[in-house]
Amino acid sequence: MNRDGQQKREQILEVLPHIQRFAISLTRNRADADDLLQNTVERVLTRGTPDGVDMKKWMFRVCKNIWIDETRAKKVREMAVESGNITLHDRPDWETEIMGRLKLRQVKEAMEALPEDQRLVISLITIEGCSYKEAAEILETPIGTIMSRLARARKNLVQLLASPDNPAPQSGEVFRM
Amino acid sequence: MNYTDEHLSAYLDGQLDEKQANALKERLETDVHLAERLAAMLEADQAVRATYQQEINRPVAPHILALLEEEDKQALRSDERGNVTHLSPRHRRVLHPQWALPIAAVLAMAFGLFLGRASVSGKLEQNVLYAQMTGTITAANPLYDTLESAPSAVPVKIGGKQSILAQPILTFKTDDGRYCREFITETGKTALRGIACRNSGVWELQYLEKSSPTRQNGYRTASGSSGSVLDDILDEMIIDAPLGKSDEVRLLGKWRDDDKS
Repeated sequence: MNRDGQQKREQILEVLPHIQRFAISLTRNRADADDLLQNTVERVLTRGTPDGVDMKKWMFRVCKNIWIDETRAKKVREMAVESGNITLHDRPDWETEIMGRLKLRQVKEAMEALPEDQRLVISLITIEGCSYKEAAEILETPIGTIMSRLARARKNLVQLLASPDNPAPQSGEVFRM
Repeated sequence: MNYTDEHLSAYLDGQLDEKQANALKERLETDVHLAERLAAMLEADQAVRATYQQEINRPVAPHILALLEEEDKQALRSDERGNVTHLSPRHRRVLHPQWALPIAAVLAMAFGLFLGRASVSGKLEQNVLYAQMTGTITAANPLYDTLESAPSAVPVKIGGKQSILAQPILTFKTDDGRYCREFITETGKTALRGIACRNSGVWELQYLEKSSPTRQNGYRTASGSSGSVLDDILDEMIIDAPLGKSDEVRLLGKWRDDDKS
């Protein structure tokens, strides 16, 4: 393995836990997250990276692009099987067992319910701690758009996580996905 | 001023300029409803962050790590001690890059052949693998029943479409009072030899070693040497001698009764 290749692999390995968590936050179960992570690593290895690129930001971006492509393809497949009562993405028993607590499941379900553009900004900013500027670079979107998507995502999460005992405060704005 | 969710969200992230932030802060002291909206946003944010915080420690699947280490496998093959992966609790929590490669190399070589994306036959193999990566073998894992109830020297088929044979080799007690079992798992081409110890009803993997399967004659270490590092580890862990057949039968029966109660 040449030095550049070795250095690149070390950089990937260094950021891999973050890319994996990002993939987990975007997908519905571990198997999907693994597929997304594997596709991301394969694409970065086979297609190369621009010189001097920040590997973490680059891999977030590649992961995001693959996820969006796959999500769109998946929607088509889901529409095709809905009439046949086929349930997709059944959570494997072992994962349900690990998740255990209701709160975790509630939060993950709320994340799944968010539109993809909102889930992406929450994943990058709230979970991964990216700045607005970094998120804008990764998502190739203006900062103003990032800010409005993030605000909508947070408002939606408040609504989705609210319980009858603890209703969400109303802001007077229409609940908008 | 009428504050929007965007203002509150930006305030939460410290993205408002100083003048705007101070004005909003002042308003929050008198506007209970606005403060409630901000608190709800903050709570949702914290719930999301807490939910995914632990995922940073989740081990990366070995077939993905294997993509990054093709040439490291050769180095591993030439290093006899590299055949043993120590999964002590001290090291088990985080798959840190420094030791991720040896673990992934061992596992990928042993199981990766049939765990590749194209040939994954179901969650059974995944469970085996994740248990080995995280070091805990729970009742949901097919290895669990073998460790929990199979007598030593009796091979048990645990694979689905892909044939995996699991076989306890011996059972012993450690000086801290735990019961442990040495075992092997093997497919047609590859095998793993390991030690797992029972703790509060689950099995925790302590050591893992790559071996070569020879189904007629038991196993041999991948290095081809007569002894292995794992033999030395066993010698250190075992107090007195491995359990005899009758003692082992009694112990397996006790575990079975414990599980029922």
